Amino acid sequence: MNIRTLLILALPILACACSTVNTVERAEPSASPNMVADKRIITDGALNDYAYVAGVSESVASGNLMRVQVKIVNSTAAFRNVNYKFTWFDENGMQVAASPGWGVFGIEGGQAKYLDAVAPTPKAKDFSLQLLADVR
Amino acid sequence: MNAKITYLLLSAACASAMCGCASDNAYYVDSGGPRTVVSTDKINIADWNNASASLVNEMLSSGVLERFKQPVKMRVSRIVNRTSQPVDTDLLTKQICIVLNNSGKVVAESSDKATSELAEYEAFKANKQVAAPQITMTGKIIEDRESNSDVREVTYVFMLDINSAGVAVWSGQKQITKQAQKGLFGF
Repeated sequence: MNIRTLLILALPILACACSTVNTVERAEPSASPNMVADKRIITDGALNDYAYVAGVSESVASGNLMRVQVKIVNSTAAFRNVNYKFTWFDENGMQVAASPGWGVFGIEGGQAKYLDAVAPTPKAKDFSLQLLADVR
Repeated sequence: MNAKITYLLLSAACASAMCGCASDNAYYVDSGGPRTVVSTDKINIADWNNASASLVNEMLSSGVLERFKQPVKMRVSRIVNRTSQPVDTDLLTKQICIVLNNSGKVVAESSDKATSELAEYEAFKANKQVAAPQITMTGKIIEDRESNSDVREVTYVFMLDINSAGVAVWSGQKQITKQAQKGLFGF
């Protein structure tokens, strides 16, 4: 059995190892999200491939709490775990006490996932999102 | 001479073995953060933090607390533990109460007997009654285990209800699943 035959036989096995997510949605979305212009500091290019921030939108929850939704896209073909942390700031730019700690989510290859966070206090007027690769 | 060399080599070997057996110095990591230990035999601190953050996020997003005059008084009631370990459910409820309190929407009734007695005494002096809680928080934590020849998996399901006037006005659930590869001998 030569190398070429081996590769042809191995192809289905290799293909099965990389399943990605197909998505169907409206051609013209009826929702009108309030998109936020964001600033990014990328120090880990590899993380940016599988946890790319595609957009940030904002709304209000429970009458007076800032609510943020971040669309994260995994542009690779592999499942990955991503750590994330929201930090909230008041109108003076001071960190709000009791900002939540690190969370973790899994994202399939080709999947777009939505990270949702509600500010812990009405004093929170701004936020920052940190993303970190799975370091365990 | 040979005995001296042998003695020196043996001493060096013993010293190396002792250094190899010594444990590393401890170091700090972020509680519940990305460098904490994750295991499949218990609910880790990261799991408690994830569950409480997710549930309180859902609760605040739902707007259920807007139905009540704020701040609404809440009693933390029974959180049933259906896992294989004894757990202190305060690890879940306390974090939720902290966030709800900071939001200004909820005040949690104190579980301390002396605090309750003092409140009753103050109310009695003012010829009033201590206000009863308007809502209660109840819940359940369930553990589900699966395994195959290669992988060991555990799922913890955190369920929470906010109840008022005998009905659950809000229900939320967070599932946390962890997997670990089995060792060479299947465990």
